Amino acid sequence: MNARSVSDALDRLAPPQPFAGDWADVLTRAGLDAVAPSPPAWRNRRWVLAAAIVGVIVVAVTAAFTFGLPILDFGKAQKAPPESRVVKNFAVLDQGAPPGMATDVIPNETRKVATFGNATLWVAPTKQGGFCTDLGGEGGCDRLGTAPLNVSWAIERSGLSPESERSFSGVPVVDQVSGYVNARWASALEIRFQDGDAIRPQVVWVSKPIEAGFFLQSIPAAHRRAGHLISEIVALDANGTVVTSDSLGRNRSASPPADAIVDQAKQLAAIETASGQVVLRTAPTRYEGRCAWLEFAGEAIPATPCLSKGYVNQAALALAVHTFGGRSILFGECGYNAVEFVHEDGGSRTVGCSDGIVFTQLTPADETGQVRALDHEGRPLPGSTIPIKRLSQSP
Amino acid sequence: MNTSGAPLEAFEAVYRSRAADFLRFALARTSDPERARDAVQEGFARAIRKRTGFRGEGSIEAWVARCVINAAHDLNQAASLPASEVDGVRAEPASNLEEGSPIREALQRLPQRQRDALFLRYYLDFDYRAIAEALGVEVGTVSATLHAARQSLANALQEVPR
Repeated sequence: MNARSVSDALDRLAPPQPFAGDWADVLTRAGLDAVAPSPPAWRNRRWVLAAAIVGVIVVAVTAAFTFGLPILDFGKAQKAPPESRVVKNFAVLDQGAPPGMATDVIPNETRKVATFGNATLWVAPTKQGGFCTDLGGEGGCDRLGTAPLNVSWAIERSGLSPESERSFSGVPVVDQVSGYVNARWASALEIRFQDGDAIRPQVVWVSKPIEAGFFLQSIPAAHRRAGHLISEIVALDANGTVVTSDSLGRNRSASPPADAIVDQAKQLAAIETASGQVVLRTAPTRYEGRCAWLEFAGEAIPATPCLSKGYVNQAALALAVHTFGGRSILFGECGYNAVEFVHEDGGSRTVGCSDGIVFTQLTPADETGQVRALDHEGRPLPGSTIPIKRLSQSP
Repeated sequence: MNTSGAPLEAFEAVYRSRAADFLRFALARTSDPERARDAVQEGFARAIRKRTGFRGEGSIEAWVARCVINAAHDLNQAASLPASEVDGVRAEPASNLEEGSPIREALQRLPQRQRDALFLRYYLDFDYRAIAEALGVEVGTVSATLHAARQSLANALQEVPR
C-alpha cells in the first residue's frame, strides 16, 4: 500500500477535464424547446396565436361575480382523473425534494380551471393554503398562497439558446405572459408598455381554497417593437392602487422597493461612516409581506427581497458585504437567532438577527474570518460557515 | 416577484459555472465519460423540469446534484452494470481506476451514501447543508458519514485521515 492521500485517489478517480457544456441540449431534454417561438418550435407560435384568437374559456362558471368577472367555484370544477398526466406529475413533485422545498400539493384535488387556446390549466391546492398549477406541462407553486403576483415571461427567440433571445437596448421582446395574481389583495391586472399604453388581460378568478386569478395574454406585434415593449405588469387593488409589480428590468433602482409602503417605513438601525449614515429600513407591503433596504447617500440598496406573508423569516442566510464611506458593512437575510464571526486568532463576535435581518459593521478581525448562523440555543448551524471575503461586493 | 420555483436563468448560471465540476462528480459515479456527460445533461434537465418544487430555501446546486445522482443511477442501471450489495445498500460501480487497485476496492466497499457524500464534498465543494439537501438526509448525519468514508479510504491507503 502506498501513501497517496484520499485527495490524490479521488483526483485519479475523476480527473479534471474540460467540458464546454451544451445548454441548448439541456433545454431540449427539459422539454423547453417547445416554448421557443423559433423556426424549429413554430408549433408553440401557433399555440400562442390560437390563444390570442380563441381567448379564455372558463370552466364551470358559477353565478357569483366579482370585479366584473366571473368566479369559478373550484369545488365544482372538473376533477382530473387519478391516472392522468397532471395528477401523476403533481404526485411526484415532492419526491426527493430537499428539506424546505416540498410543495405539499394535494394531487387528488387537481381540477380544471380554464383552457387557454388548446391548453388546459390545471390547479391543485396545497396543504398550507396555496396551490400548484399546470399549463401544458409547465407550471409552478405558491405553497402558502400568499404570493401577490407571479408572471412567466415568454421571450421571442431566433433559436433555442438563451443568447438568441430578441431584445432592444437590453429589454427583452416578450410575446406572451402568463401567471396568477392573488385575489386576497388584488382585483385587476394591468400590462404596461414603454410607450404609455396599457392593457388589462382577462383574468380567470377562482374561489377558495385557491383564491387567485389566472391569466395568459399574447402580446400584440405593435408591442414587440423598440420603444413599445412591456415595461411592467402590475396587480391593482379595488381602489386602483398598485399592490405589486413585476418586470424583466435588471437595473438597480436608487429608490426603495416599489412594493414597500414607504410612509410606514421604520428605521431599524444605522451605522455612521465618514460619508454619512447607512440606515437600515423596513416597510410592510400591501400583501402583508415586508421589504427591507439600506439607504446611503440618497440611494437605496435592497437588503433582502420583498417577501410574501409566511415566507418571511424562514430559515435562510443570504448575506452581502458592501463598503460605505470606507466602512465594511455586512447585511442581509438571516432566518436564525444570530450570526457569529469566527476570527483567525480564535476569537469571535456574535450579532443578533432582528426581524429576519442582520446588519453590522465589520471589524478588521471579522473581515479576515468567517461568519456562521447560530440557532436559538446559540449552537452553530452545521454547514453555514462562509468566509467573509466571499461575501464582499463592489459598492 | 417569483415564488414558483427558481428561474431558468439560475439553473443556467449554475450550469455555466459548475458543469465541469458536476462532470467530475458524475464521472466518479458512473466510471464512464460518456455516461457521465449524459448524467450531467439529463440531471440539469430533470432539475429544470421539476424546478417548480424549488422555492429557494435551499441550494440550487444541491437540487441539481440530487437530479444528477438519480440520472447517473438510471444510466448505470440501463447500462446493466454489475452491482453489489454492501451493508444492505445497493452499490454501483464507482471507480475508473485500474482493476484491483486499493482505492477502487475501498470505494466499492463504501455504502452508496458515504460515497455520494464524499464525492459531493470533494468534486463539488458542497458544505454539509448542501450535502444533506442533495442526499435527503439530516445535516447532523453528514459529518459522521464523511468521516466514516474518509476513514475507510484512509485505512485502505494506510493514510492518517485529515
